[in-house]
Amino acid sequence: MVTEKAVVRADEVFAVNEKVRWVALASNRGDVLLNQMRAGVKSYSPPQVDREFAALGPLTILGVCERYSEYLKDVDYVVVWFHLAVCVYARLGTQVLAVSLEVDREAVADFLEWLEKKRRQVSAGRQES
Amino acid sequence: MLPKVIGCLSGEVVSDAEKGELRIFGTRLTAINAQRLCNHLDTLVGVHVAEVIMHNLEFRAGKVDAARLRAERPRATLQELVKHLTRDDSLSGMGITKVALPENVKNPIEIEISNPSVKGAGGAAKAFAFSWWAGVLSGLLELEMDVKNFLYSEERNMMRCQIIPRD
Repeated sequence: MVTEKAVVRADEVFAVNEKVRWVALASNRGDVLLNQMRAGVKSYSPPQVDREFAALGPLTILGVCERYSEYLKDVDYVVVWFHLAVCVYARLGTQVLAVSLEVDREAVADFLEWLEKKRRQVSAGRQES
Repeated sequence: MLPKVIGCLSGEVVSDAEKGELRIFGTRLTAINAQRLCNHLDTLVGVHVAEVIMHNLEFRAGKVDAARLRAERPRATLQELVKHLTRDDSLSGMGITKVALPENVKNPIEIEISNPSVKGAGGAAKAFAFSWWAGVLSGLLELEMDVKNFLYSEERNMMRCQIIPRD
């Protein structure tokens, strides 16, 4: 049973660029709040694998990279360039976003621009609350 | 060399050097330095992520152990099962575990571990024992339980928490 409110909706992420394939969101305790493929897009991986990965995978990857924050300051996002898709992992406030996109540099750049704005927006929201 | 039997009741802990086996209540286990493992995980991914990873691992393990225990002892009461589990904690070197079960299990269940083998105020060590208890109690009570109000006292060499149903 999970009651934490997601800081982003799937339709909001899919609307950023039509090349966004999949979106997942997890709490910082590893509870999956969102795990959704774009309608009509078939995942390359089994849904159960996507769900299990969404729980701890992005958080762990970010955690490993954040060990360098002491020297290089904060991690904005991590991009993993697979042959079949590009994945982006980022913190959104206390939650962790994972997105996969088609291999398309413009789409990735588009998404990262949106992500930077969204991160600022979520961060500002947290400071106000 | 004969297998070495440890514990008050025969067969609780069997260490068989010939076979290279350690068994507690019949389950084969491996004695490792869990504190070192937790400390290393903290170093690899940071204390917060390490705690989440350990929680995920131990919570799942607790649920699996609850299902196994229920299957082995279908008629046992919750109190009897918890007594068995605290005995298991002592025998496996976790420390001395005390569990206070309220009449209404939706109220906080108090757990205290004295002389814990793995200790720390945060990181993987924080989740090592209590997330397992949250998982095992979730399985036995068929409720999703969570760890709250964690306390570690270095001075008293003990850790304490409450296990309560998730919101």
